[in-house]
Amino acid sequence: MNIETWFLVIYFVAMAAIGVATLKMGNKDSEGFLLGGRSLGPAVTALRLQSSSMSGYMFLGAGSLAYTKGYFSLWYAMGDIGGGVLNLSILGRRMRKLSQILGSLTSIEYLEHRYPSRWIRAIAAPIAVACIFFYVMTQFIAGGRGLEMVTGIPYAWALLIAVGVIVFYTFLGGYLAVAYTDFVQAIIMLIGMLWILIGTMQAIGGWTVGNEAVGEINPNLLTMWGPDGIESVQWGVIIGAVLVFSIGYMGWPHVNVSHMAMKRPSVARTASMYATGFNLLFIPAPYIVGVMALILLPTLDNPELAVFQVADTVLPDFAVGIVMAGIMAAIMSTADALLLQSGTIASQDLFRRFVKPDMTDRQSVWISRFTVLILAIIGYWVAVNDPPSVAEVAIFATTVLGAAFVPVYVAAAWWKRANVPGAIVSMILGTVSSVGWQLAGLVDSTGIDPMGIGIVCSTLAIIIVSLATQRSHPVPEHVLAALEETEKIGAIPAHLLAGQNDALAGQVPKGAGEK
Amino acid sequence: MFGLPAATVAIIFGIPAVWVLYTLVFVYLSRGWKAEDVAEDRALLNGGGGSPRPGGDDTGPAASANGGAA
Repeated sequence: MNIETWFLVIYFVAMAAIGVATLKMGNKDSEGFLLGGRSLGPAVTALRLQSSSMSGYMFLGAGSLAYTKGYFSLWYAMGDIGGGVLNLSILGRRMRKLSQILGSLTSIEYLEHRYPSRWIRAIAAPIAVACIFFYVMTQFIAGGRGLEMVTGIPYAWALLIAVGVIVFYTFLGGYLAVAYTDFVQAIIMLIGMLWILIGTMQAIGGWTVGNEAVGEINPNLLTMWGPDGIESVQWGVIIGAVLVFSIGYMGWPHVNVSHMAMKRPSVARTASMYATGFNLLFIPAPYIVGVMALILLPTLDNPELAVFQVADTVLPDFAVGIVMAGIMAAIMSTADALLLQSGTIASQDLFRRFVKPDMTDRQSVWISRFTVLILAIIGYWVAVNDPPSVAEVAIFATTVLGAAFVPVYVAAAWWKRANVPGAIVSMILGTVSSVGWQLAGLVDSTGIDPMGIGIVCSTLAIIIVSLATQRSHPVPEHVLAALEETEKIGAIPAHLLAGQNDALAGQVPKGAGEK
Repeated sequence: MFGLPAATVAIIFGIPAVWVLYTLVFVYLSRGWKAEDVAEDRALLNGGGGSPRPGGDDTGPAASANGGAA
């Protein structure tokens, strides 16, 4: 076994150990398993948010984009750097407080409590679970491929190991295991990426020297307009890259659940500083390494391997092992969050809500675990037999999530007039328009990203339909009271929490959701 | 600078600077959120009122809105 493999084994064991360590803390009841007992501080909240937002794309896709497009690729990083603080400042405190008042345990349940109708969950849950399942499958594939690349183990076995470790600690400790492993993995990702960046700069003789050498290949690679120059630039793609990567996260249920698990609503404030600091250090690095790979590895066959191949070239063997652990960390921290979220949606938002409302917290936790296992088996089966393109499926899944959910999450916390019909039409139109735009091949002909179209459609839908149906579908009084309380700074009055029960705390008054 | 065109330097340093500024402004505007922690602690000490336990003191200090930070 080579030294890189040893580092990976140590890393896998450490992640599994965290799962075991959080076993007793995490499974006391549904809130313990699904939200870690709402006990997370700013550092864990911020790094969990960031690491679960950044998948293997940061090590594979970002490097590939930079290798082929030069500094143009940094437009994606420009939006990405602000994604964390934007999400925390807009949704963080309000979603934490509102979810507690409404008694919501999952980010989909939160939507139904804010927009009281069973149709909200019946529509949101399948959209979310389908997108998350496809997204998690791409992370499995990326993990398997990465492990195969380093260890030489056949893909099927490498995939099995990667899936097995992720499922093990997700299965054991629930949200707390995912949050703490994500926290550790964010640090490993950061160390690994900065190590590659420093090694790259040393190998090429500094950033300025490297840029001058890249300019000799093609001066346009040094501009923000792409390899073909400013004449061929697609402004729609640039605007989409900046906006979509900054606001898109607000529609991802597996990311938004971080807000609900915060120890206090005010955690969002400190977490925003950690998030911006982490992003500034981490996000530009893979793009710059990808550009510099043009000098170090000018004849690379597969640009997706640019960052890894650079690491293999400029770093000593033991460091490559640590960097590989960083790559696996990026993949696994996203995969575990997705897996837990899809298990949660299936158990809480579908099974408990529509099949067996009277089940106990203990049963709910076990159903969530069972769902995680089933989804992992199906994901493994698809990934091992007919693995789809990682980048295409991942981008498509996250596009639909963003288009469907950004307006409903933002309006839920900020707009008192957002109502059930507005939310339903918004989610459906966001999904249909983004999927339709992609499938109709309109991206190439218009130069406009499907998420941009999707978000515009879903935003207009929630505004127009909510305003048009205010009289027939007014926002219930208890939701308005919760929103008014959320605006205030102070402890939540007891009477706003008095109607809660373990299952559907926010579903008062009865019958309000049957519209 | 750094062997890059001026526009590239301006964009790759300027936009992150805007995000840093946004973060600082957010942190400044949300400085009053500490009051919420104090109110929660007081409510808990008073026998479980306020979040997260129902049934206790219902008179936690609820200040006015936070100035639009969040």
